[in-house]
Amino acid sequence: MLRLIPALFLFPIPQVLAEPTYRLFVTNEAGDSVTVVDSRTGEVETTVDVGDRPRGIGFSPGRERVYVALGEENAIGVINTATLEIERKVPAGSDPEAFAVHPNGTIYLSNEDDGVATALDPESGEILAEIKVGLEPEGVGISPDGEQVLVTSESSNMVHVISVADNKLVANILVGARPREVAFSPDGRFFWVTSEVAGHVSKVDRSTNRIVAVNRRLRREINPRVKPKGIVLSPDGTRLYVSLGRGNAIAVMDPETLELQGSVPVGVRVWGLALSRDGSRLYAANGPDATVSVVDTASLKEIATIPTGEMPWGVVLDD
Amino acid sequence: MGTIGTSRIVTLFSRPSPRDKGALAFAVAVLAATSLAPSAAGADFALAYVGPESSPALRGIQLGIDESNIQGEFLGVQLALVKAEHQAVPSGAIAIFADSLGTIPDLAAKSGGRAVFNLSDGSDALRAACLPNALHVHPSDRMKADAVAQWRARNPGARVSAAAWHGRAVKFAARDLNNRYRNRFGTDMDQLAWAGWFAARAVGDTLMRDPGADAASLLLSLKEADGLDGQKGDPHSFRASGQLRQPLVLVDVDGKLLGEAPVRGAAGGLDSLGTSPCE
Repeated sequence: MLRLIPALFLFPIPQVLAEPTYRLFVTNEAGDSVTVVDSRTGEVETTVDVGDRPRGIGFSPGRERVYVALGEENAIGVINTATLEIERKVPAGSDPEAFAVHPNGTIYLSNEDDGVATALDPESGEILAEIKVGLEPEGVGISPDGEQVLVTSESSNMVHVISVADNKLVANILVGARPREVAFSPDGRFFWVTSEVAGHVSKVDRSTNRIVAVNRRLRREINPRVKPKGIVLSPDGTRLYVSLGRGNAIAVMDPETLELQGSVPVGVRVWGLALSRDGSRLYAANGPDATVSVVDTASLKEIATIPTGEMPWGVVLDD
Repeated sequence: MGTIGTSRIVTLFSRPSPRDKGALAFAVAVLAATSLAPSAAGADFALAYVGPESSPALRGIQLGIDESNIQGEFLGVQLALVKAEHQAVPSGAIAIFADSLGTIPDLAAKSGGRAVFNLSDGSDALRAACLPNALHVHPSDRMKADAVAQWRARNPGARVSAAAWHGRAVKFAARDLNNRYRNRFGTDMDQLAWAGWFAARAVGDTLMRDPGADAASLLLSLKEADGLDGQKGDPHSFRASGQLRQPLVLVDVDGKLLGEAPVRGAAGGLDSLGTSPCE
């Protein structure tokens, strides 16, 4: 049986998805592996030795493949979602860290030590474009209409806005120090960005590329160790979940005002986040703890922890 | 988008000048004429360095200015470095970086209220002086002593010293910065180089956010900033004393990196290192 992604989220062409495996995939940065978990039982199914320094992780548009950025191998590892075989490794420029997959299949990735973003066709292996961005590019996001790519540069404190049509920069937005990740509103009007060292979460109006709201208070409201990193929006658009690194918690925020609605204590140095399709479960990677927390979003409680490999970094769920 | 080459540096001849502003214009003109870096003539801000030519602090400043200019390429703001003598800092420079032991109070007094970055002097008395425009990036002797004491409380008898930076640190984004410095200069980044780099990046980032800044508003913004990035994980900020609040590294007698201070769980966090007599 095939599923269609609801048209709301979408790219004009409806994507045909493979039958879900309900597998949770976790990159283990220091373990050089991907932990595969059956999300229905919470049991670890297997651990795939994927290569050197896996960080960013994401699905192909149809979810038949799991892509993993292998920083020390200068490649994207391609795992078959169903068979868990490593099908190939595609050269991806120097030190790929994070990426997003365009609905047309192109991978947009950040090459951390080169200061560029790369557009890569994972099928042909062709590098379609290299776009010069700031220092230590990190988080990558693709607008819901597929027309723009955002790349954060951690050491230049900017979000770069790239036009997909011609791979040119259309805006460079200064935000708080060490921007890490972005998330879009489903209608594409806004995006949010985490700033790890500044401790901020900012909201940007995409029609003007200007910051329209910032929460600078998270360290006072939660704890002084807060370092915002991962960010996801609930499917109904009413909550932002932000992982707080050494703050050892997840912030729950109003996407409109960025007011704090609550926080959920999880493990140590929480980074990667993934939500279930129905929004009921939030998964969070706790690096030094070598666990993934499972959070029930109705009660905002951690209800389970799942063991992973060393230093889990990113999480995705095929549901 | 072109790449940024080497830092724009020009040696300011220490000739008497009726107006320091003229001296800066002269320096930039010399630089343009010798085509070391023609675009420096069009720089938006000049920053002055006072100290030895051979200092690692100068190399750190060069890297920091180049990195600020990479940031500035996207925003249309560029910085240039002017090498100055202690007695002839051009008035056109918006901030002053100094690797100059014992002379910070004099420089600060003569700078007309501009930010003077202390990159190498650890004197506690200098912090206790609460100079309004001195920004001490170099850790105070007290901070280093506290870091060592925290470490020894957990590792009795350990022979360690504390520093602002280690050239082989990899945690947080130290790896990235150490690689950039080593690729550029062929040597490890030490704490003086880090201090120079940090000062240049802090000034650069502040000016990028407010290209209309003058020396006074720059100093105020720097003193109010609470999330400056030193690539050491924690946010950096300046205490009322002008001392940079920052984590330190602990190093053994062979120069090997042992760990960081504050040690995990130390009460007071970054303020467990050093005192803040002006607060």
